[in-house]
Amino acid sequence: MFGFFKKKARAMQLHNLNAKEQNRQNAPQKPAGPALSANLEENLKIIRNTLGQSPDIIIRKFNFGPQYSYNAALVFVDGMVDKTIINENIIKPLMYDMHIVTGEHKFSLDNLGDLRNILLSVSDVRNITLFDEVFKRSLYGNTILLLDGFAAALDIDTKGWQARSVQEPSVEKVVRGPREGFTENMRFNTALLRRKILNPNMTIEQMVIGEQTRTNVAVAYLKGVTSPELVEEVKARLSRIKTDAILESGYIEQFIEDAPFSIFSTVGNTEKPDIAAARILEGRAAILVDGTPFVLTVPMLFIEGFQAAEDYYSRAYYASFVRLIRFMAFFLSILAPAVYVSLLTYHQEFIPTPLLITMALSVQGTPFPALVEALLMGVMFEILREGGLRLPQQVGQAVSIVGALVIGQAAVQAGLVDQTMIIVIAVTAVSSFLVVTHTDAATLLRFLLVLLAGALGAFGIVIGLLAVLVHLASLRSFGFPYLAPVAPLIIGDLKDSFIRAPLWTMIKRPQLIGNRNPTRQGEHLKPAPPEKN
Amino acid sequence: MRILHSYGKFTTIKVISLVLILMFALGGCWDRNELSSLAIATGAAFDKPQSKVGIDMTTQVINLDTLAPVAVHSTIAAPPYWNIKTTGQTVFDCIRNASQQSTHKLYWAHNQIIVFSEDLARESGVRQYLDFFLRDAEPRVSTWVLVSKGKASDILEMESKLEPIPAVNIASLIENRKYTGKASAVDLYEFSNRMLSEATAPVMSLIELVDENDEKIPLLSGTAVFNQDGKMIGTLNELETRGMLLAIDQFESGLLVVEAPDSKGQLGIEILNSSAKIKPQISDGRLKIKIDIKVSGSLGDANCYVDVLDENTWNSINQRQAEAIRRDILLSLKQARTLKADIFGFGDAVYKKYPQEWKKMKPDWEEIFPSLEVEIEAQTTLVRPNMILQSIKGKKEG
Repeated sequence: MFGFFKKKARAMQLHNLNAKEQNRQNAPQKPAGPALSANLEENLKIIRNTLGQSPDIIIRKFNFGPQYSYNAALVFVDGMVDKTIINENIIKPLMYDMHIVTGEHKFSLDNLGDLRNILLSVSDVRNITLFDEVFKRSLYGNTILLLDGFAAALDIDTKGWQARSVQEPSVEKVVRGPREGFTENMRFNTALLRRKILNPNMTIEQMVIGEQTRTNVAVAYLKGVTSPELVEEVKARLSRIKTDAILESGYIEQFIEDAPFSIFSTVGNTEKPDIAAARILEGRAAILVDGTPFVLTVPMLFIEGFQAAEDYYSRAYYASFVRLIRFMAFFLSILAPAVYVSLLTYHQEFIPTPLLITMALSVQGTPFPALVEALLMGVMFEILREGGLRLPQQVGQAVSIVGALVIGQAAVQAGLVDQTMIIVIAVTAVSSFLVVTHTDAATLLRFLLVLLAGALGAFGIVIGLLAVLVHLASLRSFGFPYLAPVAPLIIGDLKDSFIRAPLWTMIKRPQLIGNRNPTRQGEHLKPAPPEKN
Repeated sequence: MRILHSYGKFTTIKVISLVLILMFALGGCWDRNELSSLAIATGAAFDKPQSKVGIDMTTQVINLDTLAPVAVHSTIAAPPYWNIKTTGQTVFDCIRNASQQSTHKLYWAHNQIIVFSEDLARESGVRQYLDFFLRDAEPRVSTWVLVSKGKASDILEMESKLEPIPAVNIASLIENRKYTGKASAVDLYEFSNRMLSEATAPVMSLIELVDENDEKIPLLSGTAVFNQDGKMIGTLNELETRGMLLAIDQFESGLLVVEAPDSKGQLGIEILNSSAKIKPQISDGRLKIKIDIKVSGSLGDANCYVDVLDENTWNSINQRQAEAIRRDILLSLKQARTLKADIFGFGDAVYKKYPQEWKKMKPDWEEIFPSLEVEIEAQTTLVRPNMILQSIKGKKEG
């Protein structure tokens, strides 16, 4: 079945590629765009025409220099700039401090570079000559200084819009560990990453994706650790994206993933700099997208869903225990309702007699078959979950109370649903949140397996699980087998899979991803008390 | 799959989709049974039929209404079970006829016991009744089989203490007999294995109801012995049952009460471990059976003063343990000889060791068995006196 979708996908991809190739051949070489002229008024007219009459586009004209002989204009977008910089570091030096530079001498401005070198006390200033750049930079929070008589302009970094400060992420909470999370501002995010890895090899490469939104996207990796082939592949896949808008990293994810028809995600994401840094240090690459706190990491392995940051911050015993619990919870969340349905409708002989009596008691008098009940309650739970998620917090609580009362008590008391089913669904619901990464896949699988169990019993469940297993084994994420280190079996990497071995035993990076620079640490790091003489 | 590819572009996909559709269409919901539409049968009882032909069967099913924590009909003190009485030509016929009375289909996978009344077992035998329970997919061979001294259906209507459903109660009783060893526990599997054997006599647990303050309380005691045709021919009492269980290595635990060394009272020895082996020997053309039994026990109680620190006393207690075991085995042997029933499986042991000689003995085994020479070798150890070394000494005692 999956193979069918894959073939379709391949056919579509080929079709698209062909179309793209043809477009490329037909389209003429992209022109560099119109250049600035030496006439200020003309330039401003073009700018006004392009940017329109939007009230947030500010064009500030002023004169400066001896005898106010220089006509200048500043172009910036209100709200995106830090006005103090404009006032204190651009206008003020030009209007008031000019005489310090010129003194009694007659000042002649030969090129704009002089202004930049002598007068403007802003860190990032560069020369531009094209209108395209004027628009691009000013819309990104820079201020453009145009001067009459020059066919160029100065692009001055005055970015300073309101942004959410660094906060604790709401999804990946920790008891122990750093609480900072990525923000919507990509510059903050790259800084947060750099603060984790203070290494000159930490490389961030930036590009712009989105024909209309022109979103900044950055690829971060550690030179010498991340394999260059992976970085090339990531950049190639990113540069293939020709779309209108990138509003969230999810857009990128869906354009670069390996298995677009799989219910499993093959691109990881995180909201926490420490997790992103840890993945980069294992040899992965991170993709940061401006405007979202979710940073993508590739390649992603199935096992990553079960690894939490805290596993590495707390000691190995408890971390390993929690890992096993997570695996258990994952299987519980896919299998519990299906197994219950199959036991109830096909395999009553599997259940110990006292338990069967208890179950029969709770089933007694309920009108629906077990399959219908499981589907009904499963859908009900998803509705409540979705409702609780999207509503404002105060209303969300009301929804959950109504849900608890309606589902938990009323349905049972009215004899519509059996109690054990409620328990099964509740257990399923709670356990599906232990492995957040795979929650959506698990939810879909759960319904699929319930249907299979309802039609074919335990046989159906086994068929379903086998199909999923075969599918998982066939998945690749940026060329890396999805089920590693289990399939293919990599004994050394099992240290960080079902259990989390002590840190001093994990000498090597994950073998497949980190093979560019396999050794993580020295061999004799096992702590021990000082030897006595 | 490679072959399939060659027939056309999407053949594999077509075949797989076809298989999937067929899987659901043909196999889907095939033996679906909602739990709420099943009547869970916990026990079956067979009595001597009223009419000359046919079978009288009583099936016990769980009545969930009265089992519920908050009873639905709390005012009516109905029992938590319902005994369905049916008649029919065969057992399966009886079971299907139950659908004329019960709205739920009988479900046999959790059946605990099959009870036969003694007169039925003696007169017509049990063979014909067991076929269904072995042939059908639902019943299990781990179902306990019993003979009741009175009417079998009464067993399913007894006063049930601690465990509300009589059939489940009896199953638990059978589990519990391991603390006495005074009754045998035989499931369908063992019974039919003994029936299939060439010499071994099948046995069943024996149960009766005793009146106590106008309440009928079950008492599991002794063993019913059958012949090779599945007809009951006699019984073993409690000590004989224990002897048999010891000899065939099915004894789990139990209390031997022996005389104290100076005959002032009795001592209870709890058997912790026992293992037995039946070894046939042919020397000079004469068959001899040797029963090697190793037992270890602990001193469980004493109703008189006994000083276990004295080595002689300790050894003599141990000796008495060995004697008690020999006595029990001999008692069972005596009864088996009287019944001419090889309850120990001597015949099978001979067949395994001397297959050629067995061929000659087989036709006359019923005659050979009672006069067999049997030697019992009991090796016993007394492990510990448990928490105290000396009993509390009376003032007048030496």
